[in-house]
Amino acid sequence: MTGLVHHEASIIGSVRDEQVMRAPSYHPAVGVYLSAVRKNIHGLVPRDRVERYLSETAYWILCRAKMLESDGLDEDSAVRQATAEHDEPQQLGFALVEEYFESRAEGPLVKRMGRANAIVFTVFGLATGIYFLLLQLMLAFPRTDALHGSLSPAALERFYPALLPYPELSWQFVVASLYPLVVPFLGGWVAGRLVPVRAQESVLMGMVPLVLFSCCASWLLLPDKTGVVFTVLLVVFWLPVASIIARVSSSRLRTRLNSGVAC
Amino acid sequence: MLILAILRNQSLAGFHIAQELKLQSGGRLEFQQSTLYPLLNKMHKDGLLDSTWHQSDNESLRRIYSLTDKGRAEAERQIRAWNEYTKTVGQVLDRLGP
Repeated sequence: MTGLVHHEASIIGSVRDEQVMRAPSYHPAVGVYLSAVRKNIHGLVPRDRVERYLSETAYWILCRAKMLESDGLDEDSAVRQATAEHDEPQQLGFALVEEYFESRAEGPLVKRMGRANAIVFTVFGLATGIYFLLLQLMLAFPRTDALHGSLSPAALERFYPALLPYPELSWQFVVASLYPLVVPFLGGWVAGRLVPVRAQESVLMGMVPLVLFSCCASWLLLPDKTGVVFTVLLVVFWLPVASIIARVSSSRLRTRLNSGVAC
Repeated sequence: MLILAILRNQSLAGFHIAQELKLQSGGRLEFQQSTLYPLLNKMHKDGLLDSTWHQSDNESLRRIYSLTDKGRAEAERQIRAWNEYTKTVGQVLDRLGP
């Protein structure tokens, strides 16, 4: 085995990046398999990289087929079996897209967290920061208007543990209430557009440090119990909604990009 | 660690790394392309592996992986740590008896 590899290594020649790659004619089963993989990576990976990935995949399958041939199978059966034994095209496509995506990670934070997680962390980190600032505005520009709801503040507190940050008929109240409701949809959609595969997992991973940060910072910074409520909101609303929306958005993006592939 | 160990003395393509792992483990460790490549990519990003694309006359393009100096040092460190760990565990089990 090792000897074989060494022999191969001695006859192979380096390929420059810009060299036009030869496109060997593959067995039909391999061709069909490669087309299926191509469908999953087209548009998400640069064309030259797609060809390299596919060529490498073909090499993997054909090496396996050679081994099966040496075990006594005829060439056609060996190639078909090697192809059937290989990864599911979608699974392999995801791995290749992820490899390309993460290979462009730069900077210590991105390298440590992974590019996808860092993108989610940035998107929702900004959103969280903006919300913190919005809620801080009530300290800088306090509204002393009375609440207009039918419930008294004491009755209201049974349902909402913190004091309402603004009177309900003020524009500040609308902004402060709508913002956290809209952000998981919008942020999840943006994250799904920026992270091509496993966006929902990245949302979960990228938001964990934010939840911990929010828990500590909101306790210290935000007035009353609003911060704690916000942390709960992050866990029970932002996290699930954003991950679902990110998954849908990412999937739609892949479908749109992959639909242009010529097999 | 096993990938680093395999690449200590040779440069190999992904398929052959997987085959070596399977062969040396008696078939117990089997890696598919989708499982192996993220690992190789991570090690490459961490500076443990170097890779070059190669193509022979009648075969497909593939990437050949080799250890960098950092990877070689990391391989030695991990193997030494593993040997010490298994030795220690073995000693404890021996003293505890059957």
